[in-house]
Amino acid sequence: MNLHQFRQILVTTVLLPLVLLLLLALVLAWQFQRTLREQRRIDHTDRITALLNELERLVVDQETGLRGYQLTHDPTTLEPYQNAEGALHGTLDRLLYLVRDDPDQFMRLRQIRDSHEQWMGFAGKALDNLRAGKIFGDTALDLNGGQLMATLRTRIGAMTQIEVKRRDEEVESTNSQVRTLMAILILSSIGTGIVLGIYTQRNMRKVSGAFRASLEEAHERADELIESRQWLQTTLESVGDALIACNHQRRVELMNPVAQHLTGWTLEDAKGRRLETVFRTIDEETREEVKNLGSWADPKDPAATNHSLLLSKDGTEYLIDQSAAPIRDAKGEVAGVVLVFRDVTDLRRRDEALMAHEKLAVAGRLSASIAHEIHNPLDSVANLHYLMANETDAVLLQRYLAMAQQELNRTLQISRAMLGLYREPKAPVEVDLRELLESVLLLLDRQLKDQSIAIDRRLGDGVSVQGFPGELRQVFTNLITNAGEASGRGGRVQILVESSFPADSRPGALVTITDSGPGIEEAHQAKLFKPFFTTKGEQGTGLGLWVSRGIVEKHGGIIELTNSTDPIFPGAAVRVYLPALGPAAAMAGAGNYRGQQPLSQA
Amino acid sequence: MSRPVILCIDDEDLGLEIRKMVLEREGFSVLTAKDGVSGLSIFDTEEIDAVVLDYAMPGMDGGQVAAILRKRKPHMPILMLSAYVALPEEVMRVVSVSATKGDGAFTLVEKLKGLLQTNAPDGRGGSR
Repeated sequence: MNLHQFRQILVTTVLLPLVLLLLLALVLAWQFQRTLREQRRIDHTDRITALLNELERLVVDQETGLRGYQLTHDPTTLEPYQNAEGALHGTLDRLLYLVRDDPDQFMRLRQIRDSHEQWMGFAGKALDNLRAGKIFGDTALDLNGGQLMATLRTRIGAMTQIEVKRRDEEVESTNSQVRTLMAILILSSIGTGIVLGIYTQRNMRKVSGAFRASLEEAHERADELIESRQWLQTTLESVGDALIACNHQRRVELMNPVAQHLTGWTLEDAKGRRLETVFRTIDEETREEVKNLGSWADPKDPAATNHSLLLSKDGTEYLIDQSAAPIRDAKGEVAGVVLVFRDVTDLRRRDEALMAHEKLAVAGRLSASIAHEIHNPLDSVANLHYLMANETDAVLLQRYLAMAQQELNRTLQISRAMLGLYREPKAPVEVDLRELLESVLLLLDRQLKDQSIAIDRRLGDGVSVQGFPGELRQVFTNLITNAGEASGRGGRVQILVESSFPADSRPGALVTITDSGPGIEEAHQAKLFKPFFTTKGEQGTGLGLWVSRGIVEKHGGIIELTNSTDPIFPGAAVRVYLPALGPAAAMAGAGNYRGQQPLSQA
Repeated sequence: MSRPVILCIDDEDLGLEIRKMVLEREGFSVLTAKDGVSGLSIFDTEEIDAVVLDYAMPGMDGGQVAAILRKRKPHMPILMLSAYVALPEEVMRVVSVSATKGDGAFTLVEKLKGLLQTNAPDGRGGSR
């Protein structure tokens, strides 16, 4: 039942009794009117009856007066006769007026009047006789007068009889009407009562049913609410990520256990405090406190997912990954912010360990060919030593010594190149890319020769960038080894070093390594830089490209792997752009690089 | 006794030259080649008593060259030189003896002489 239906019920509950009572009142009024009318008719009949009685009395008075005068001859006895004659005309007129609507009675009244006039004619003759002195009456005349009087009185009696009878009928009708009225009154009262009772009961049942239903619904809703809160609570408590929810004033409303653990604040203490107080972060590089937390709510802000250090209440630092999203209310207004973050300290350590491992693995994989490279000159030196032991010719000795020096220099070069993979300056240094690639090729020389891979070196002069030479060696060792392996025995690899101005026009270097292998399968393209992805089976760790990209990005550069369009080197082409500023460029605005047009289009 | 002719194949210029000087001092006549293909053509045209072969070479490696040599002259003494400590099984089955680079000239000469003596009774190397 909705509110509208409820109102309707309320209105009808009030209106129905009113309407019924009104109807009842109308019926009663009508009945009352009828009874009143009937009463008036009775009154009318009563008046006629009274006038007829009066008329009879006057007639009798006249006859009595006339007879007295006939007997006594005393004129005073004639007085009633004379009085009645005067009143009689008035009474007759009133009666005629009263019965004007009743033709039967009107006719009877006229007959009475006629009879009375005839009798008056007799009375006039009788009086004339008496006045003329006839003391003895005319018997025939008197007889006639008596008959006339009898007729007159009979007529009056008959008319009176009719009126009396009519009155009885009217009284009976009135009584019957009153009874009907009473019956209607009682019945309609009972009817109205029953109708109202049933209707009200029905509506009450409806309303109470609806009330019970809404009460049950409210209970159900409350249960659902409790249940959903429980769900939310359990979910929040079980997720591995830390979560802080704030209201629109950026005051903490909710923290899950992980967030409480990482920030060092209990929810009890943190509730209502400013987010910046509970969630203190510093920039990983600059160690400056991050003040502007507002921008996190904007998912487009690249800072929203940057790594930063979270300072726990107890001073512990956690490297975290964070993201934030606005909470919107029903109207779409920002009602708060949810901040999600996770401790990536272990993840970072794992990555660092993996990178260190990969660095060693690169050297390890090179060790066999490097041993070979070192054994060759050592073999020569040993042979020269054998020759010199029994040689006395100074010229020959000099020649042997020079040869030995040459071979030792080569050994030194190789061991330096090898060490270069490990040794790293603390800060970025100027790195000549040509020199760097030469030393990498020296280490790879044996490996490439064994595979009969022809290297097309196009190493431009004077192309240098700021960077960490060991790391860059590792990158190019990886990339050239990959190119060699992709090309296979007898393959070709081109190495191109040139100055470059990529999309953002910052000076830098572009190293392009193209091979004659089969190129990259489309299915692999997206996974190339993912850790542990390898197409070399047991031979590869799947870390080479992942580490390489990490290093290149640390240098503020971009690495890109596509299929070559060069017919001589039709395989894969890997392009490495390094900004001249090196890692400084990465800090200045790494965000500018992401999502830019690819190098190949630059 | 005429000088035994040794064919040395190695892609390392300087190492090859020094090895030639060592062997010449020990009384061998030495022919050199810088890769398997040119080595095989010398082997086909010259009278060779023994071959000293480097294992790791661009193009054909020492193992492949040794297999061809063995096919052409099954009794030819072949000494495989290698910077690697361990050579593959199939290579070891083909060659007569192997030596590790850096063992020194003395070991090389001793092993080579030993090979030539073992082969002498078959009437090819010993006649010179």
